Amino acid sequence: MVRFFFKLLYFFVGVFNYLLLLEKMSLWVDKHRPTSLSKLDYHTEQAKHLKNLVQESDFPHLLVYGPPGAGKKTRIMCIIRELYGSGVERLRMETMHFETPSQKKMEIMTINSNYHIEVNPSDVGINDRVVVMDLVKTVAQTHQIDSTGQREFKVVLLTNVDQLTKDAQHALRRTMEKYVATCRLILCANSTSRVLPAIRSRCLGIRVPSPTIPEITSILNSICKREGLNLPDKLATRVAEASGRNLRRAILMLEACKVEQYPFTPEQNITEPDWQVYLRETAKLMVKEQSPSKLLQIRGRLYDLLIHAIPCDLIFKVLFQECVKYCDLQMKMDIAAVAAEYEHTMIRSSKAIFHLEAFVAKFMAIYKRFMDLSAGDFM
Amino acid sequence: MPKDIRSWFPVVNTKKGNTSEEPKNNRKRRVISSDEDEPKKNSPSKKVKVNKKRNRHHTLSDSDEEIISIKKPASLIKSPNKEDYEKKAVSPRDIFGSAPVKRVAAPKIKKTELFFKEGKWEDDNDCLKELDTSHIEVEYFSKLEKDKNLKLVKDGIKNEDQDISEISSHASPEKKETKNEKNKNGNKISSSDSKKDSSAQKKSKSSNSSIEDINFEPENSLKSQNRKETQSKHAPKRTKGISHMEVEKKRKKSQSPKKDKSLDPYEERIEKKKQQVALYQQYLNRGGARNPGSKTIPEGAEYCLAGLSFVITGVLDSLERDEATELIKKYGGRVVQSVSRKTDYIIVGDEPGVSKLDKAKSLRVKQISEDDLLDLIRTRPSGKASEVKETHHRIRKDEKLSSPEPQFEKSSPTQSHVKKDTKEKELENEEEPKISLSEDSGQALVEKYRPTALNKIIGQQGEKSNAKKLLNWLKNWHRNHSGNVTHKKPSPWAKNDDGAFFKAALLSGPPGIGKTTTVQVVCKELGLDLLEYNASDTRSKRLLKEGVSELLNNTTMKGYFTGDNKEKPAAKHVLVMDEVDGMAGNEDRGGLQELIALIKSTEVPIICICNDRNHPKMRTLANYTYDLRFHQPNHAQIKGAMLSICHKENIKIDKEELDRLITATNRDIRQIINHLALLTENSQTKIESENHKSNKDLRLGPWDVVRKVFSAEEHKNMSIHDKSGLFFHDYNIAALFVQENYLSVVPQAPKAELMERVAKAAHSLAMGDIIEKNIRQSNAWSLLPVQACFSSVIPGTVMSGRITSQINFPSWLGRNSKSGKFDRLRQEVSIHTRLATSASKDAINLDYLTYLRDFIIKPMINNGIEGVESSVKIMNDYHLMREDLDSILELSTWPGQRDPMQALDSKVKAAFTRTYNKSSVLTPYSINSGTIKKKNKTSQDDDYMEDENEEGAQLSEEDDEDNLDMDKMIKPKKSVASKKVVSTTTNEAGSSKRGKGRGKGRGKGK
Repeated sequence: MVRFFFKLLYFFVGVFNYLLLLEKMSLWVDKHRPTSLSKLDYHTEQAKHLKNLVQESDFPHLLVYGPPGAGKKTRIMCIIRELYGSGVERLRMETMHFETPSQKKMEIMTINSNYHIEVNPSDVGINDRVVVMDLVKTVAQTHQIDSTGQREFKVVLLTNVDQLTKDAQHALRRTMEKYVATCRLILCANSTSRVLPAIRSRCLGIRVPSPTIPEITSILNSICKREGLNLPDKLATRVAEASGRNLRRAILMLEACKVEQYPFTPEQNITEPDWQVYLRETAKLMVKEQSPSKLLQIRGRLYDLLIHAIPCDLIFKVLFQECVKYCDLQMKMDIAAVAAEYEHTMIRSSKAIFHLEAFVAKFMAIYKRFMDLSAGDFM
Repeated sequence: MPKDIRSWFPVVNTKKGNTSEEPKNNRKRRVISSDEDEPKKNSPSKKVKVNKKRNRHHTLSDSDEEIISIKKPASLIKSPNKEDYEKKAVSPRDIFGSAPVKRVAAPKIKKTELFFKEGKWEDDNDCLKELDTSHIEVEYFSKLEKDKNLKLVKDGIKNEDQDISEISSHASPEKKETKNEKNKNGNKISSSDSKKDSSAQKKSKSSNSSIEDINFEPENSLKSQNRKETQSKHAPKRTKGISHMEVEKKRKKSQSPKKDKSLDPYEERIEKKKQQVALYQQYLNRGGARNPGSKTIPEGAEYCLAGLSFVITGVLDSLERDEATELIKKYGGRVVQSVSRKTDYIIVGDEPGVSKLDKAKSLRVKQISEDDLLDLIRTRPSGKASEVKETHHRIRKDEKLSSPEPQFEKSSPTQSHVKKDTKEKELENEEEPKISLSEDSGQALVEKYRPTALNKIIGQQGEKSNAKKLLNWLKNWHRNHSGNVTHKKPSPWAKNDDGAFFKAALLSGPPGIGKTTTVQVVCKELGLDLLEYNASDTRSKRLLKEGVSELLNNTTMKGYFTGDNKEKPAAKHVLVMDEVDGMAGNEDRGGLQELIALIKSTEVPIICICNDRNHPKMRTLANYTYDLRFHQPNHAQIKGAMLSICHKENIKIDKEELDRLITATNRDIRQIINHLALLTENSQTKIESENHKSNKDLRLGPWDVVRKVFSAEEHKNMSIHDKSGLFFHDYNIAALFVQENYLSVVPQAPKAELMERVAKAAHSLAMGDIIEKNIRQSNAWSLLPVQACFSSVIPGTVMSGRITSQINFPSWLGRNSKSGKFDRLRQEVSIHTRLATSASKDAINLDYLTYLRDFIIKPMINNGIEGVESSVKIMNDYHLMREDLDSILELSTWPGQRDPMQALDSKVKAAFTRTYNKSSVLTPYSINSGTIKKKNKTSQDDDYMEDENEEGAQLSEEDDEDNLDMDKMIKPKKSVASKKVVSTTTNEAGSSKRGKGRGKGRGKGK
């Protein structure tokens, strides 16, 4: 009987709430994530500032930005924990339903605690404006349930703010000012370049730079110590370098190394992400031969990269970095200009492949001309 | 009807006050009363008694009464229609005739006129026509009566006579004579015909001298007795002797000009009309060749008739008209429709056209018979091919005659005769334009040249043509569906099916190739009545059910009048549902279903016409219908027909232009004729430009477009506008096609420059893409030409050369949808792992995926079954489902990589799946897809409930028992899950669980 009742309840709610057991994750990257500002390993000065900020009664909107794997999210969670205590660690997932003006039903997953709500509005693509308008507004309009709580405001955490459409960002502007009494927004972005200046000016910008390589190595060492492993310094440095100063990646790589081979050796193989390998090979193809048929082949590879949702700017970056290795200074400048141009045009248009291809074609043209010239000189 | 006539009385009575008209009114009343009350006032004796003049009147009035008596039943039926006639506008000519008789009671005249008009419209209805003319007679007589009684009025009529004669002939009284002669001529010809209309005869008689009238009295009365028979279509054949007699009498008449002069011109007009009507009736009724194939067709010398032109009139003895035409054409002669100076011979058959003969005579064209024609072919020497002229079908009739061609004269009439003839001709033009000329004035070309005979429809002449099939199907319809024979449904691939099974036919084909026309012509040929519903009619279920089925049970007016009542009422109907593919929307809701139901139960053939047979809407209908697919006639067929129209209409068009027009319109005949109609209006220069434009209408597929874009050959004579025009064939996909294929072009450029060019083209395409985004984003459609330049013109020009390989469909579309799918998978994975990782979608994709896969798969690869435990732990830690693992594998696999699952032993894989299923923990997210998942969910659900249910810790055990009892299916899972719960409570995780519970409680309390 009771079971039946609960089943019924389940169907009515349609949303599965679950209070997560604070279990230790099995992967190091999540297992050893610091949970309070005081435990942060790097940018400690900034952490101290943040702690001060949070302990003040008032608290502005925050815009936390920095490259991926620098620890933005970790830092934000630390801030929220600092604000509300350990209660924020009891997370649950909820599906919220929306209806666009064109009657399209949307749903979006949110992660809630009693004190904050985390949303990634860009999950719903171009309809993110509706999410920002509806969800953020409704959350912001309701006062904190827990009146005896530490704070009088809730925190709304919006991730990937730089992926929001312009419309959604505009919708955010007014909300930020209007409901400042009841809620604080913490925006999380990779770069502020795509965040509207109006939004930027309403927020306290907190830049979280990538950890330096020594910082990463020290973190890797501390992890290994906690895991009871012995990590050679050489390997730690290599992993840190291979990760491109992305701490998340570095830790994952290290664990992959451990799965691969333990005890560690300084020269052991480091597993790189597949896409990186693939991209690098593509760049090599570009340098190897310059012809339309090769371009056709490269186009296929570019399509694959795009299908796997490798960000286009990353593709540009890696291609450029790889190709430039084979060029002299003048060519480097040319190619940098070309890459910059096409990355720019790509952002302004809809089909990335056109611009990637144009870049590759242009590079091929420049490189071929250079090769022909040098061959002529040689002869 | 009676009511109708009574309604006229008050009008007449008010006029009664006018003294001068009183006698006339009286007379009128008499007529009306006879009309009503004494229809059988047949009195030949009376006629004998009265004097000459009176006698004449009486003979006429007699016949009049007769007719009225016949008319009565007909008019009873027709009464609702009659009111319509009264509302109809009066034609100027009628007003003209009646204008001088203002003093005569107006309504009466009007009425007769209206009747007259009615006759004109329904010219195929014998009965009514006769009635009409008789009414005119009545009117005429009322006038004569007046003549007799009142001098004053008589004067007035004289005036009127003069007026009429002046207006109608614009000439001296002598012209009246010529007119008369013409009448005589007409009569002569008609008398030579075997089928003679009695009314025409009578008319000529009545207009002649009294002696002759008396002579004819017996015959007249006889005729009036036989009148009823003569009303029907089949007039009794008269012996030739009688007609000869008549002719001679008439000749006499013509020799007495005095009497002719005294003739009333009004009467003459009536007479003439009657005559024309009669002739037209004959024309309509005349049959085919009398003895088809009775004569051997001689083999003549080649081009023996070259340079000669023929006119065929009447029905030839052994040859059909078309056969004769073919024959003449075969030997290089030409056949024209009307007689002109250039006509060499007129071939006279049975029932020749009066006007043609007259004209031929006036132009002194040699009259020959069919035998003479065959002789000509036999005897004439071969001519030159160059002499062969194009067949001119129609020459303007109103061209003035100046010098008659003296070449082939049968008789040599005097100069005066010729003069007379020309005058005659003029008169003819004035008097009877409606038979020959009125058809082609003020009509759209398309309507004008709508085929009226089965073999005139382009592309439907053949024995196996759709038109023939339809004809046969319709012909046999009633036999096939009489219930005696049952037909099996033919297989859809049966080639020579005659459609006997089907109760309906479905004509399908592109527009403008004569589907509707075919139906019309076929039905006309079979004498069936068309009941047409097209897209302009509402064809909803209700309407079809009520309207159509009701109509189908009715008989037509026509059928009633022509006395075809013996037949089944519905036997003469055909229901034509035109444009059935247009049956859509709210208006026609349920129409198609009802139509199918109608077809199943129909008593009449149903013909459906549609354009696209393969349209989904047509699919059901096609099962119940005889499938007749119309195809576009071939180029040559159309061209021939179009050229003939051009000649008829005096349109000057180059043959190449016409060719292009035909291709440009995609062989849509209607469209071509419409284009031609445009050309008649415009000057030559305009034609050029117009044709040039119509050229461009050809729509290319994107494949052809791409080929043209990059073809150096094509570029030679293309302006930039032409090039950008290519883009607009399909601007949605053109850019993608160009982008897909520009790398397979071999440009006409030095090899060193190759990459430069490719880079330029790629750059231009990238620019085009930017513009496209702007167009779509901000609806800046005016930028489309700019995009055309960047996306098509510039790459095309830069890479101008030839395409070496096959042109590919843009892979972007496929890749795009695949990336969409991958994106969904990623989204799912990232949502599922959200709580554990805090990473965004991109971060999951870039950082986690590869390692996550390795962490899950590697232990199993390395350690086999021992590795399963750790793999499952990771899965559970990250809240991954079995499907997510597949997604991860798919997402993290790159081209050229092996599927890592393949490295797994199947035993290990099975073990993994088993372990995973056993250890499946609750997910923090709701699962809402898949039945397997649902099973999972229920068990998880229960788990969750237990976790939630703090105070019900004791309850849980009972619950467990319950569940075990209820769902045997989830028993193993359940036990494991509950075990796990137990174990976690004992272990360290248990504390955290309790903590959770506490947390919740606290939340609630606060």
